Amino acid sequence: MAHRFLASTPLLRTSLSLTARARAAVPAQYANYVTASAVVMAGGKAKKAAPKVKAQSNSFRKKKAADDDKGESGSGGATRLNEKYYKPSIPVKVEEFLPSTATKEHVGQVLGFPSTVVPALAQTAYPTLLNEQFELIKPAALVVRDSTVSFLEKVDEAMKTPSAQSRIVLTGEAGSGKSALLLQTVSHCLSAGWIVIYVPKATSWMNSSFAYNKVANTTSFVQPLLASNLVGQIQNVNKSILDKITTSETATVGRHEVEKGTKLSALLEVGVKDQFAAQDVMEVFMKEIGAQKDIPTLVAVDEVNSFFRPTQYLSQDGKELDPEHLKLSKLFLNYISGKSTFKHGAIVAATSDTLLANKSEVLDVALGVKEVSPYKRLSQTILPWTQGLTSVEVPNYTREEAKGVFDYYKKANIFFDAASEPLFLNKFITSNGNPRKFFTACAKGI
Amino acid sequence: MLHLLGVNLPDQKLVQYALPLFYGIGQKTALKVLATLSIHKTCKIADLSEPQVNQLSTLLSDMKIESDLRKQIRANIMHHRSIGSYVGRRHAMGLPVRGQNTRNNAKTARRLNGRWLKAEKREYSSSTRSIIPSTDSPFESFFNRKWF
Repeated sequence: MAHRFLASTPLLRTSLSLTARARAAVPAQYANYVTASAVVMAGGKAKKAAPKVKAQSNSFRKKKAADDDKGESGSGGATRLNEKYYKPSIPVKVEEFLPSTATKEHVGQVLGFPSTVVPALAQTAYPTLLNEQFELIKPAALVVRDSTVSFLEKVDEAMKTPSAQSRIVLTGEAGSGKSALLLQTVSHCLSAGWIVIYVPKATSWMNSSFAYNKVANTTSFVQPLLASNLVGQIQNVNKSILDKITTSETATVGRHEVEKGTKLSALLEVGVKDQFAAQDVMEVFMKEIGAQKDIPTLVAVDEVNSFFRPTQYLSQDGKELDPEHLKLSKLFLNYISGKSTFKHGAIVAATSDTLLANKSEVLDVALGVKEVSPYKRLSQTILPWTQGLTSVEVPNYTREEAKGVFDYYKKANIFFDAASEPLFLNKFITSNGNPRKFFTACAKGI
Repeated sequence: MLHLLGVNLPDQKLVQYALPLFYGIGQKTALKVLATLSIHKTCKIADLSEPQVNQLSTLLSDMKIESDLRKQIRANIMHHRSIGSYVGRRHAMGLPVRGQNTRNNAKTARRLNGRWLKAEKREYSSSTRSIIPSTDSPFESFFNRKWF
C-alpha cells in the first residue's frame, strides 16, 4: 500500500530514508494512534542507559541503523502486534467462565477466564495463534459454544471414571477452535478443583530444542531441563491442591530419597531444584496422583500430533527417535494410550494444523479423520499407541456464536469500518464461520 | 569463543553449523557427530558442558581433519606427479584432470587445480635438502622431458 503513495508523491525525491518515507506515507486516519508498543518502547529506552559489561565478539557485532524502527513493530517480536494492521482495542468487561456459566443459556456469550485461573494459565504460554487474539483484546476471553457445553458435560462425566476410558482427541479443520476448546476445558477443570497438567506446545518436546542424554544400557533418552520445567509448571498451577496429597511410599528420585508421607508439592520441589531428578519425580508424581481417588486429574495436551510421529532427536546411530524413546514423552504416551491410568480423570488432547511438517498421518488414520490406501505402510511402532482414542470434531461457528463474537469485537472497538449487520454477514459468510478466519476478517479487514 | 584443535568456534553459533568450520567436516558429518554425542540440534557452542567439549575433542581428534587431511590430499596428488601420470601433469598445468573439454569452460580448473602442487613446491623450496628436482614451470618440464 505504501508504494502507491511513494510513486505518486514528490516524497520520492526527498532525502528522507525509506522508513521515514513509509511512515510519512501512512494515511492520516491511522497516523495518530498512540500504540501500546510506542509507550513500551519509550519506557524501554530509559532502561538502556546502563552500558554493556561483556566484551563483544567481532563476528556478531550487530549493525545498528541510524533510522531504526522506533514505533514500528515490523517482524521482530511475535507478541507485538503490527499497528498498521490492527486497531488498538478497548478492554471489555466480561463475565467469568465458570462451571455455572458454561451452560446452554450462555451460548454465544464471550466469557473471560476467572481471576483464580488466570495466574495458573500464565505459567504456560497460550497457544501461539490464539495468543494473537488475546494480545489484541484484553482480558483473554473465549466464546461459549454448543460444542463447549456438550464437551464439558462429557468431561464432568469422566470425573468419576478411570482416565483410560476417557481419552479424547479434538479434531477439526485449521482454525476451528480446538485449542480454544482445550483451554476452556483446562479453565473449567481448574475452577472445579481438578489437578491439571496442561501442555500447550507438545511440539517443543520433540523438535530437538531441549538437551537430551542417553540412559545407560537402554534405548531411552532423558530430557532433564524439560522435565524440570514441566515439574515447576505443574507445581505452580496446582500448588494448593498438591499440599493435600502425600506420597504413599518412600521413593528414590535421582540422588535424593523422598520419604513416605511427603507432600506432593515438596516432591515436585525436588524436581525443580535438581533437573536430573526431575524425570523420576514426574514418574513418581503421576503414579501417586493416579492412585488416589479424591481429586480427579486432567492431562491436556495441545499439538498432540507430535506424539505420533518421529521426533527431530537423533539416536547414536543417526536415526530419528520415536517419542516412545524419550522418557518424558513415553510417560505421557502411556496415559494417552491407556497403558497407565488415573483412577479418576481424563486425557484430553487437541491436534494442530499449524505446521504441515508436524502432521501425523498415523493419528489421522487411527481417528478416522483421513483415509489412506490400504497399501500405504503406516509406522508399526507408532500405530499401537493410537488404539482406543475417541475423536470429537470441533465445528465452525454457528450463526448465533459468530454474532456473539462479533458483538464482543464491536465492544472492543477493533473494526476499522462501522460495525453493522451487513458487515457481520460479510465477515461470517466470507470466513465460512471458521473462527480464526473470522477473527482475521474482523480485526485486519481482510 | 571455543578454541578446539586449531579452530575458533564462535560461542553464539549452533554446534551443528559450527562443526563444518573444521576442514574435512561438512553438514552430514556434523549431524553424525551430534548424534553420536547426543547433542540436540539447537545447542549453541556456549551451551556445551565441559565433559561434552572433551568428548567432542576426543571424537574429532580420531577423525582425519584439518592438517592431516590436507597432507593426505597433497600426498595423493604429489604421487601422481612423481610417477609422471596424466593426472599429475594436468594438476601441474592447472587444467581439468577428469577428461573435461578445454576448448571452452575450464575456468574452475584453471583457477583451482594447481594449488596443491604450488603449496608442495613452497614447502620443499624452504627445506634445505630437496630430493625432488625443481622445475621452473610445468610447460618447461613437459617440453624438456625425454619422450623417446
